[in-house]
Amino acid sequence: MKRILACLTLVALCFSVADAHDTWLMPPIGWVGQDDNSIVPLTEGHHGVPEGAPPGAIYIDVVSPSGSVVASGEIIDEVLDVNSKKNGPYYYIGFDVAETGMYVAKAEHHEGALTFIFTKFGEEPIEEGPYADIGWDAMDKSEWDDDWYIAEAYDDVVKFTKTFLVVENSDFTSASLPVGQKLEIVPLDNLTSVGEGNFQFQVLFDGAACPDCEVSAMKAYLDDDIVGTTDDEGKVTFNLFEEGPWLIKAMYKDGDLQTLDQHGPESSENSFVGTVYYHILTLRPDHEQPEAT
Amino acid sequence: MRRIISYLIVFVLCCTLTTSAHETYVRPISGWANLDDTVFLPLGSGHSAASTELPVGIINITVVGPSGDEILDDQGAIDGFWTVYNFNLAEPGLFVVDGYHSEGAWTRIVTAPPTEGIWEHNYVDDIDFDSMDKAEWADDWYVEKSYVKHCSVKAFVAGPEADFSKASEPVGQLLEIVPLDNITAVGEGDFQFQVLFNGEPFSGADIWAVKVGDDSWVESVTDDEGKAVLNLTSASDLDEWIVKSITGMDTRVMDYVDQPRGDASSEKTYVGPSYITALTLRTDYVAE
Repeated sequence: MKRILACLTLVALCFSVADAHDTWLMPPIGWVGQDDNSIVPLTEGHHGVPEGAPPGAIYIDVVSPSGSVVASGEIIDEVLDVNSKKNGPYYYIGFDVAETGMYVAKAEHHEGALTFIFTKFGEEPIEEGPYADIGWDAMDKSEWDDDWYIAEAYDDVVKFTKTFLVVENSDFTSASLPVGQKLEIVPLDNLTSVGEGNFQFQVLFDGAACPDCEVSAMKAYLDDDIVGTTDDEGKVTFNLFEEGPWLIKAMYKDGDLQTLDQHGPESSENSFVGTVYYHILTLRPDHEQPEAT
Repeated sequence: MRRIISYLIVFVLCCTLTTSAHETYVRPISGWANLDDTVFLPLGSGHSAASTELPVGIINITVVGPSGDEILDDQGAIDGFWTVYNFNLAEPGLFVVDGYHSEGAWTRIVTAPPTEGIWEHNYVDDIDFDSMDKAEWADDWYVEKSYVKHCSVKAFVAGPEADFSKASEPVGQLLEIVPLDNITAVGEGDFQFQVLFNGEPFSGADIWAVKVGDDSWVESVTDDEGKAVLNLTSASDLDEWIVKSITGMDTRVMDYVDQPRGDASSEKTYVGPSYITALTLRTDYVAE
């Protein structure tokens, strides 16, 4: 019975993880022309549906084909720097397309420390700030189960995202080169084959292959995910059966299970303590410039 | 029998040409915005909502806000096949993006009836037929139609405290689609529109809607009051629709007159303006 309950709890835990807001980049177009003025919007929500401009600290960069950072934006707790703008659920920065090749837009979003507490069996965990800052004694625990426990005490929730802007079909292969994000999804197949079937990705953590990593592929605006796990080389293949846009998402927890001081008197659960990283790779259906008609 | 076949060919040709005309549309990246946001307005041209050419020619973009109009002409930046405008959302309420685009005149010459022909980027009166090389043309060549193309675009961006009933007020486009139902109900099923020409109900007009990312159209024809209902059902969490109408070869708008033609032809020509209008509707006018 205890095992069944533990399994159910694990299922509930999975849902809590799956419910975290995604952060992703979504340019209005996947290809650009030389001398264009392009933009890179970032948003958060679920299944490609923007729900709001994300909180926390956000850093957006655009890297040119020659490797220079040609545009940067910084939004800290909803305060925009001079390079950043906002439009409803999006923050965005602009850049001038001066080179041919492939521009890479990337972003890093820090939500800060978060603590998830399972207070009642079968219910969603409650979300609090940093574990060390929680006023445990002042909290009303009268409705909590005796075996309440902390599922995760994250010192930070970090969300990376990346996408590509190809200048006039001049380079598609550079997309398979990592850009050095701590958690990163690298498309191994050619961007132009998105929508034609199987497409292989590699997940890297600190630049090394990330095995047994949970990855999902979401067709934007639809509720169904395709879920997979990376192999020993950090690779996973999804059937990207339609053109997209597709959001490819990976999660990696860097930390360990610890026995924390705070838990219900009848709980012996350990808590995950560390940092959780997410990465979302945006693949658009239009990285290839069509012929003008 | 020959006449029937001839009518069928002309009918198919007209339908094909009517639906294959490029429309222009504006597609805001979000249906809602906050105060002081810089609202991003990409303007594109093509078929089925994917911009396949950069809009060129005469472009006028105006944002109609609760307390006045802001003209955004000459402020567009090029991004792929989009010309991108933006405005600062400086007050609460509903903002209507009202645009006009004309790439000039087009003339279709059927050089080898019934289907083979060429397009000239000019009005029939300005084409020097005498100097054209007609050696390969059939004796019954004729000018099928010649028109100045007028495209209008419309879209909505909802700021805080938006009065959505304003979306059902015409902005005065020559050919205009007015959403009669509340635009926050887009995606929930049947949605009623009214098509106006010169501010008056336009009956018998074709009206289509295409969901962005999906090439299949839903279509209808306006009734005596210019009204039509389209089923805008969304299965997705976020959808965007382009709703389109066109005057085409409607003889209430165009004339059917004699123009240059081959010796063996007695075909007349449709001449006059052609109006295309595209209304963009989204399912996210209210922030989550």
